[in-house]
Amino acid sequence: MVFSKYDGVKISAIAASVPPTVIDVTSELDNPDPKYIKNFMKNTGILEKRKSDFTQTAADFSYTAAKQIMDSGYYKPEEIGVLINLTQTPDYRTPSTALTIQKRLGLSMDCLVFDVNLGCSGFVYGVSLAASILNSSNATKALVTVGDSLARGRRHRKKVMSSNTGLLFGDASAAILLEKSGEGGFSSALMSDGTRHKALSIPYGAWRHPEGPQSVPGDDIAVFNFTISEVPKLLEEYLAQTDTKIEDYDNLVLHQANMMILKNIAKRVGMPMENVPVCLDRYGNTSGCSVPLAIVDRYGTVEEDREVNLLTSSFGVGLSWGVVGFKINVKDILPITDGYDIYEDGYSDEYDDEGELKKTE
Amino acid sequence: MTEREKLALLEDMLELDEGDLTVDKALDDIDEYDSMAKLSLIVLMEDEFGVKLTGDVIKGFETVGDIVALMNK
Repeated sequence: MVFSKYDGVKISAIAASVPPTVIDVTSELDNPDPKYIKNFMKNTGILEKRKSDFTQTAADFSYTAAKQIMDSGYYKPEEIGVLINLTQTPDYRTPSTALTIQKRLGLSMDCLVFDVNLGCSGFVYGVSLAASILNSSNATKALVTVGDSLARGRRHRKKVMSSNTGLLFGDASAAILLEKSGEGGFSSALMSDGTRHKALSIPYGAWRHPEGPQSVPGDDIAVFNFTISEVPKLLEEYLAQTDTKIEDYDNLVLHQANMMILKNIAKRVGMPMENVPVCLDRYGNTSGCSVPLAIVDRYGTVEEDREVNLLTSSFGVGLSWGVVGFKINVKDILPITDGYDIYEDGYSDEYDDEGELKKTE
Repeated sequence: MTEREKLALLEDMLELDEGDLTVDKALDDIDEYDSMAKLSLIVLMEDEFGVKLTGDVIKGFETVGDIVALMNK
């Protein structure tokens, strides 16, 4: 593992935004068999999720969450020196979606702005990258936005997902503000394994295979085995490295993959389930956003002035996984907002009856 | 653990009635043995018997008896 310590940097605010439309997952099942529905709900724990319509993308919810932190008085646009956006569902092939978020927030040009193509592990990688840059630069505040719109899919494809795997996903984005605080700090442990890149993959539609299905089935068993073995192992290594115990943390906040995975990891590291925030029942698997969303769901409406010690772990496509432990005051965890912002970029979207993009002269 | 006790563990996991499973029953004939059940089986085998199941091993299972044979306790 790559263990990093970010002295004098803190996570100073977290917000999350979701589409206003609530979807009952049973209404979206390809397979209407009641037994399948019962088992899906029991094993995944997912009952509802949020799904954006085609007027909005993950970037819109990222913008809404970042603006919520700004509007709450945590930063002025000119103070942000780093903006990192983590997504698998960018607005454009290029440039990075982060650049449009920079523009919309009115951040200055004295800012390092880029996207990172990561999925479910996005949160731990995003805050680690931002903290590293803060530690080695003259920037004082950094924004991380993380989110995907996998439930929505892409408009010009009729079939959004190739299997019921797509049913798991909900749309959501989060924003995290980091700043130099001169005291305290936090740590991360990160790992990756490219030998298992095919276990979760969208291989078509980019440069190596320009044409093909929007998704291919993942290797569910390999991913499940990876998760319940590698994640607890890294959590244990992180605890040893930081000389902390699981009891030192108020919560273990895990990527909201599915209920079976949450229960297994919690059991293996000895954290009671009541200390493991769960939001996947109402929001589904929200990819890289799920850890901050679970934090905001647990504490966003709690009006208390006290610090909580959180042990977080994100894991998924890559394969890629990591652990971050940090303290944050409950009052700096903002409530979840429904996102209505839409970026009118001036490009045209015209489609024929088949849902394919119309050829333009 | 007796064979019946091992079958009972699988019946419980699949939410079947006691006595529904026999070692020669084909897994293809059990509706409840779906992709989710296979994940539950991974957990059951590791927690109860310390056996790690890979995808290839699971794909090789044809009958209930093939699973029971790995329940070495």
